[in-house]
Amino acid sequence: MSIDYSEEVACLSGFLSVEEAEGLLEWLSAHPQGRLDLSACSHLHAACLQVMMAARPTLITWPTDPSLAIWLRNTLSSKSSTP
Amino acid sequence: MNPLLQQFIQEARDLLQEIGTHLLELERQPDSVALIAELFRKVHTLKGNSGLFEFPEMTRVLHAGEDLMDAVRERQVRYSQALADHLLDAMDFVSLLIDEVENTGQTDPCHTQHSDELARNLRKLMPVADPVENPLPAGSDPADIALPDLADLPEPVRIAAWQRAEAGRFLFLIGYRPATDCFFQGEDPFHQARHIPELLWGAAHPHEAWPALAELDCYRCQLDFYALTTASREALHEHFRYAPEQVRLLEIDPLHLIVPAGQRNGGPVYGDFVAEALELLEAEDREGLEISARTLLDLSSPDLWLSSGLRWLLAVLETRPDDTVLLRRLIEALNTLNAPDLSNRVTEVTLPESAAADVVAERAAHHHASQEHVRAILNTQLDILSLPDKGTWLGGRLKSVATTVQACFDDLGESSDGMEKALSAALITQSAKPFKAWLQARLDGEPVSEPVSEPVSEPIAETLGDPLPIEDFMPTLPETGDSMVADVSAVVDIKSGRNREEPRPDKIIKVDQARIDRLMNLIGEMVVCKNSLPYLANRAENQYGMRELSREIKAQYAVINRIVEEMQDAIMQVRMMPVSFIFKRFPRLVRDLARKLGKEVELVLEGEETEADKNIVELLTEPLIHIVRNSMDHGLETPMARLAARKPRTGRLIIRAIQESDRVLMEIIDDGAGIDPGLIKRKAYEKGLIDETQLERINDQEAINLIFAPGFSTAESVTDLSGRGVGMDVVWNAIDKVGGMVELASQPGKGTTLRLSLPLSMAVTNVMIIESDRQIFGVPMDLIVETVRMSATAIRTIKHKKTTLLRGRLIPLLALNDLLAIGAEPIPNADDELAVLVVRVGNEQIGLLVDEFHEVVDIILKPLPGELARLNGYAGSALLGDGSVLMVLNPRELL
Repeated sequence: MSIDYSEEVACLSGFLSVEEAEGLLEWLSAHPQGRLDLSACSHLHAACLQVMMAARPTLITWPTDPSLAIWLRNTLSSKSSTP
Repeated sequence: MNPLLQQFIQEARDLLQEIGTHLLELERQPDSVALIAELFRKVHTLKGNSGLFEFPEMTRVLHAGEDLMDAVRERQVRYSQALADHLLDAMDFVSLLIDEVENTGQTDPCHTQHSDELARNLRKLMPVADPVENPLPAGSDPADIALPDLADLPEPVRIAAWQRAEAGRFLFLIGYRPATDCFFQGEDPFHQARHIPELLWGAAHPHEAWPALAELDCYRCQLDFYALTTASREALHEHFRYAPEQVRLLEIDPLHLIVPAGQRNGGPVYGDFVAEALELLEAEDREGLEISARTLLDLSSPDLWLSSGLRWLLAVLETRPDDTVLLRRLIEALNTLNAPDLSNRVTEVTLPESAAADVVAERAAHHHASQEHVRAILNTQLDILSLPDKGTWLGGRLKSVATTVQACFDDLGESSDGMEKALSAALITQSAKPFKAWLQARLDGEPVSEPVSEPVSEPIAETLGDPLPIEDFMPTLPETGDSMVADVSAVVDIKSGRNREEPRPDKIIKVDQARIDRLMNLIGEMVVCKNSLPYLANRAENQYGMRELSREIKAQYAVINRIVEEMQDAIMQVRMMPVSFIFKRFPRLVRDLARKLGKEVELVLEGEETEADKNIVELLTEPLIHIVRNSMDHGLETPMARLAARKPRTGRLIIRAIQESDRVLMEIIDDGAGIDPGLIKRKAYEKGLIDETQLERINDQEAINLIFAPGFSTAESVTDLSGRGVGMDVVWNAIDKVGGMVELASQPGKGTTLRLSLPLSMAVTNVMIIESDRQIFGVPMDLIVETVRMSATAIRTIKHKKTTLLRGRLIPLLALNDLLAIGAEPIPNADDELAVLVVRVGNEQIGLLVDEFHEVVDIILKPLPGELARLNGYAGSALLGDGSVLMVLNPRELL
């Protein structure tokens, strides 16, 4: 559904739509050490995904959704996130 | 098939035929502006209609055709033979799709490529690509899309892919590059990528280096998606049917998957194993080879290059135990710790992409021939499950076996019911036994006790916990397999369901319209016949002096009259149709338009049960769609603009049908921005529709009515919705043709109301009979405002034109005799008064000078036949009761 931002951790849950991308980008820019909790996230829009790829924040928890977790692991592993 | 689709098919056929005819006519007269405009309009309509359904292949081709015709219309492209050829090709293709839709209810995604090609050919004829229509950079070609290096894929994924490919599955590597502005079109490419069928592996990848966060534009898509799948080319085409130009598919030779990787140092010397393995290979002792490879694998650290090589050796041994050359190379590679040289083997099998179809065919052949082979694989899986349950690899091994078994069963066309249950039991207990028991039972052909059905992937996901190994994609795969099987059975159900329905007695009979038309004609003749009876009665009385007979004839006439009138009414009823027939289109149309335009619209449909003649209802369809499009595009504002104007966020669009005596009223009401008369005036002036004096003189209502002028458009940019000059004049003409009227009221900032008034039926026309120079003529009653007798003194001549003042209005007078080129003056009555018939033509009233008014009659209007049809001054003719012919005037054309 949405993102809960706190000082250090952003908690992403449900289905993140394209509208969330900008907020996420702002928060990550303002909190370079910010960490993400994705456990309750079932899908995130490609716009959010590319914000994560560009910002490379630390993930506290991977999504429990197995296929999303695999996609994110494959994508955020160091080899494939740079051209 | 739903009625909407049925209607679309019918309309599309008609349109296609007309397009074909027009194209051929255009070859004869390539400069005819009217023909080109008409052709464009047809293509435009067809494209618009196809957009209501999910036929992307069709819409794509038509869209290209429409753009091309638009360019021709704008004289950017000259009409040429080649252009006609391409358009005709495209229309043939659409026609083919229509046939398919009629038979199956959908278009086959296998046409995607052809469609793409046709659209591209059409666009090639255009002078410059329209930037609005083509968000992709020019020359974007799927072949430019990067693909990942197979060696970068995790080994378990590659091994699983190998097993599936060997079981007869396809193997495609996908590169998917969404358009950079795709987020603005409401697309989520990640979602699209995640739902690629039978996905084995997937990752996103930026196609250029990321800028600093502060400079990142998160709404510009910079991602490529890579995926590996075992789905067929058709399934993938279907998945990406909306964006085939953004996807590159590469069929993978399974041999390319064999790339061992890992640490090359730190381990015992393997020379012994290699020598022994080669010996076993020579001796054809596959079992021995497998056992010794497995033993060595158990002894070695799984991270070593050697272990990776061994795993590949086992994988190959499992599926291609007879491929000695390949096995030998793999074993030798273990000695050198260099990737096995598969080059000459690879070239044997690799085919250029153009020959991919052959590969598919070959696969299919292989598919059938290899049933025995598949059984052998299943037996091998059983052997693997019999191995001791130890080591961290058990989970991976079980799942690997499961995927292979799944693929084998899919290949054999059998279901793998119960496998998931057995697999999850095995994973939880960390023992292969439950799974083995299940497989054994299946292979022995024993019935397998059906486990309680449970969601497939959940138990597996739970046991795995965190971290998740890469193979987690696999458990989701059996699901895809199952759903495909379910789809197929659903199709069968639908088919058998249809068959079952047929014999069921139905209260509704479908009748060819031609039969009803014939009834209609017959009843028309009957009415004429019946009307001759009073004449007969009069003759009996006056000519033959038989009053009794005359009275009896009149009595009989009354009876026949009643029956005929009822009959006529009944036949009209048959032709009546509820307007809900056209209303059905709107919810979808409005929803789609709202999404495209980023607006929020609530559609309210009222009076759906209102009925009108079928012809009227059908004629209304196209104008109504245009009107709704216009309201959505120009009338209703975006949520932001609405909020700023202190209106509710969601716009309201009401379409209402009301029956009012013998007419149907349709109201299309929106609470949008309304029409700004000033803007309309300016635009009309710019387009040369009005001159400067008119610009100053016309009032707001007249200004608003200018939107019905031919060629009027306020749109700043061409969208695929409206604003291409196919507009309100078409609406006006269509309504006018059936004797309807259009009224427009608009309040800037409040909204617009468009009111269409139409006759209930076109079959019977109410006309007034008038006389001029001893001839009689009919004038349609709906055009007559009033009839007055006027003394000659009340008629003034202004600038050689006769006019009169009637109820405070100046009305121009014209003699009907002059209009019909009859050389006689209007004859005044005994009181020296002239008969003036005031008729409405457009928004003006005109007085016609005639000799005499007669009665009003209901007639069946027949169009004039043959050459006479060119006489525009007449709407048609009708037979009167006494057998004489009544010519019915068409005042609009006459004046």
